[in-house]
Amino acid sequence: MSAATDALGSALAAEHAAIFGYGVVGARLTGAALAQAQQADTAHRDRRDRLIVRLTKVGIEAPAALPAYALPFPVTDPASAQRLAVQLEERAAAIWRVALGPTTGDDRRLALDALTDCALRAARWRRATGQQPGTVPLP
Amino acid sequence: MIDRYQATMTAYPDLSTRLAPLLADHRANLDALRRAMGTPSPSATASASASASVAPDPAGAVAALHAAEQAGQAGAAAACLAAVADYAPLLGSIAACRATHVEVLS
Repeated sequence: MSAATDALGSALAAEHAAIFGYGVVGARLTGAALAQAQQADTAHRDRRDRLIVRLTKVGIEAPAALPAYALPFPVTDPASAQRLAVQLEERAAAIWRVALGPTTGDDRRLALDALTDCALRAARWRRATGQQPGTVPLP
Repeated sequence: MIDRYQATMTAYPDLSTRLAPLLADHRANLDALRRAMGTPSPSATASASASASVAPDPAGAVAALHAAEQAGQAGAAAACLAAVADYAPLLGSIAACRATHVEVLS
């Protein structure tokens, strides 16, 4: 294990948590918001899969998903589901941001792309909840 | 970018509501960069000296900001990928912020 693969392992754990969270989010949404959640879920699964391949290639056992993850608040309706979606993206973004430090080359590119995608999705979810323009400094 | 946003908002006050949050992001990004680099804030005369040119219509002005944000995102991303470990997270975060601005201005 190196600092870089440690960081990628943490990112994988964050992606597992985001995928679990989107299962909760999607169950409370319909229509365009549900489609937005499904697209986000697919993106996080793609990134998870790439991380597993990346870690396996260097002989590191990729951390598995937990059976369940604690939610920061009860998700009971579309509004709380969208608030959770914002948090899922913010948390994943924070982990990917940390991963930029110890990684280099293709791994850092992976982390930067992931951070950027999380920031874009977080801003979209904030707009979906009525915040305009939904951007933040230093996502 | 701060000068460009300010000049655009002065020329087209109707855009202010839309652009003010993005300007605030840039100010926060710049403050974070200055703290990381240990650079003091510039004097008022330095910040007032530049006057960015603005397109002759609001749509053109927004398109110009959009193009500038795209270029800024690419620049920050390249800087992130080339940076030493200490600066990569901040530069990557600025690149991600600018990507969200590109989307808002599209």
